[in-house]
Amino acid sequence: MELLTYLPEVFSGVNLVILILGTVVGLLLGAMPGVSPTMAVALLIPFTFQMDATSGLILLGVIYASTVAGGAVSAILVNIPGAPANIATILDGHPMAKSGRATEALHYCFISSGIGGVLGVLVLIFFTPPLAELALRFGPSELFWVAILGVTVIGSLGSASVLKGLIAGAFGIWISLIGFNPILGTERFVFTSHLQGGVSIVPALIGLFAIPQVLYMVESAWRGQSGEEFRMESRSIWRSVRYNLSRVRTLTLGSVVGAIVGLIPGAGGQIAGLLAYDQSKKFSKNPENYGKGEADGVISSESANNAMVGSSLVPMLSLGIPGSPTAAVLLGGLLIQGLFPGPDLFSQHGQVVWTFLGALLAAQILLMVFGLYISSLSRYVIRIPRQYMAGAVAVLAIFGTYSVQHSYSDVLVMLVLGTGMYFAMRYGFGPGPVVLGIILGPIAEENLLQGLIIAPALDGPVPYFFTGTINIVLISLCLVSVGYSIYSELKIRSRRRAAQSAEASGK
Amino acid sequence: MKSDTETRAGRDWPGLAAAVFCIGLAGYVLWVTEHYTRFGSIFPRTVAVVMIVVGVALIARVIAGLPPTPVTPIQSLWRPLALVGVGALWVMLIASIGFYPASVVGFICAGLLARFEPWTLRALTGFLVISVSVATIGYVIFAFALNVPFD
Repeated sequence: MELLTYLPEVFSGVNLVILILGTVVGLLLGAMPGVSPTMAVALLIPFTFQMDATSGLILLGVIYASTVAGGAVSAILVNIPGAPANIATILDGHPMAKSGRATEALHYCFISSGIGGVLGVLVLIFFTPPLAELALRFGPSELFWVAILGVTVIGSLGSASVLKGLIAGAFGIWISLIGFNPILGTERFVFTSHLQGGVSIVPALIGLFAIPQVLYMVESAWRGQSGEEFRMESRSIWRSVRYNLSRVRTLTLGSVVGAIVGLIPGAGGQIAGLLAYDQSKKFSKNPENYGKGEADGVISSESANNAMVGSSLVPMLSLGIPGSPTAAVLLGGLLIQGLFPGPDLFSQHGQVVWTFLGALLAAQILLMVFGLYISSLSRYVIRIPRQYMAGAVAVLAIFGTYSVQHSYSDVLVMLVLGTGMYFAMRYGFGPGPVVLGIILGPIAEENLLQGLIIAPALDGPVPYFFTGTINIVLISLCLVSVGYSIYSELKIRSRRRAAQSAEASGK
Repeated sequence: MKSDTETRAGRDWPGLAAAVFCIGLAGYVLWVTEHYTRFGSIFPRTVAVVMIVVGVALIARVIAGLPPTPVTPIQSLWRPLALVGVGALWVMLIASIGFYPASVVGFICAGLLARFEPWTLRALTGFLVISVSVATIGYVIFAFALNVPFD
């Protein structure tokens, strides 16, 4: 198997250093409240420019996996999820810490994250190549619909409001139009000299994901922070390992739910964690203990959110549809290295992609080992004052953006996009669909135009784009994702209305 | 206890404003692309039509009085706005005094805005030392390890 052929590359020279450093840095970054995996990956993209494609991808992938695991630290110790993926961990992790079991909870987090993560990466390894083979049958019309599906799915399934998600996605596509037509080379929508050449991916990624977070840091005191300090009890790691491994059913349930949710583009870690937690509670013999410090609650949610990491990369690497906002940022990192998702990735860049997959697998083991040993130090990381975090993130954002093209205009574009996104986020617009629009917009346009060139020689544009099995499946998936999201939104609204009226009648 | 994410009473006025902006932008795209060739205008015009359809649907939802999606209310506006000002100042200073000094100033201003506890002399001294150190480390990494020319 190709993975075994390239596995030695994972542990050679620079790759090994990046793997170890990336895991430790990712765990520490994830532990800091306010540093999300998406922001961490976006901020580190500029560091990959000096690396070869393999090392660059390893850094981004490892940071993604370890920040999701590290996010459990702030969830448990300060009741603030390090990432949306860790929301379910709070429910039992924080009560465990309050009752003097903080170290135990952290041990379960890292062990479960590692085990779930391994399953997620195995799904990635076994599912991606056949799916990429399927993409061999794709011509311009299918690739156009794949790009539209990517924006539609993240815009609808990944947003609280379908319409706002779709507006954000369309706005992102419009931003991608700024600059030059990809086929004709004509200039368009360039309002100022700062926008000549268009909006580059890195300034957009850093601006949309990092700047709103910095503005959020200065907005108010941490939400949900109780101010309590927990004594980290001493506990044998092996005792935690033994107990954790005895919870086979919970671990399997969490990992399988996480891996399945990750395969659904747009679903994300938050849904994986909450769904696994809910299922674990339903199947538990002691459901009444959930929410009061039940270890199974932590095990299920953490195994799920890290299983989601690997499987969320399946649609991204095979078809170019990211499974989560962080996978979208990784897609940006992939494109910057000149690599395009799909079958060519495996046939022409086999060394890069298989080494990357091997490193992701190794990272799951490393994050478990390092996580267990640094868990006692994590209380210091979460105490880093916000004035340093806000300043450091701002400096990294500005230096990183400038480093791409050595352009002040990029810095300005990054700040403008980030400020706009901060306010837009307050009114229900997410950065995920905008980023997807910016990344997939040019792919959609290029394939639409290529299809229009080919179509007259075939049956004409309408049959070319709207007939054929794959086209029909992709169009149906676009419609189903929007339709399902509208249905879910209406259902949530009616539930909320019913709860409000029940509350009003009870008063 | 108030939840972090709250449902606001009334109509979704920010959503309405966003929809109007979206339709306006789409109108601008349609107007500008009128002079383009059919081949050059087809994608921008398709995107514009989608923006109009979604924008109109959002306006219809607001007019129908459907409650807005739960949003996280802004707790304090002056600090984020001041930080936006710091960002603008930072970019201007980069052009006038250079990247490194501008970043030290920017770091200090951002940090001052992010601290909610009262300052003590010891805290301020520590903060200034760490600010200069972090900005210096960042500059050294990018300028020397990553070979970014900051001139």
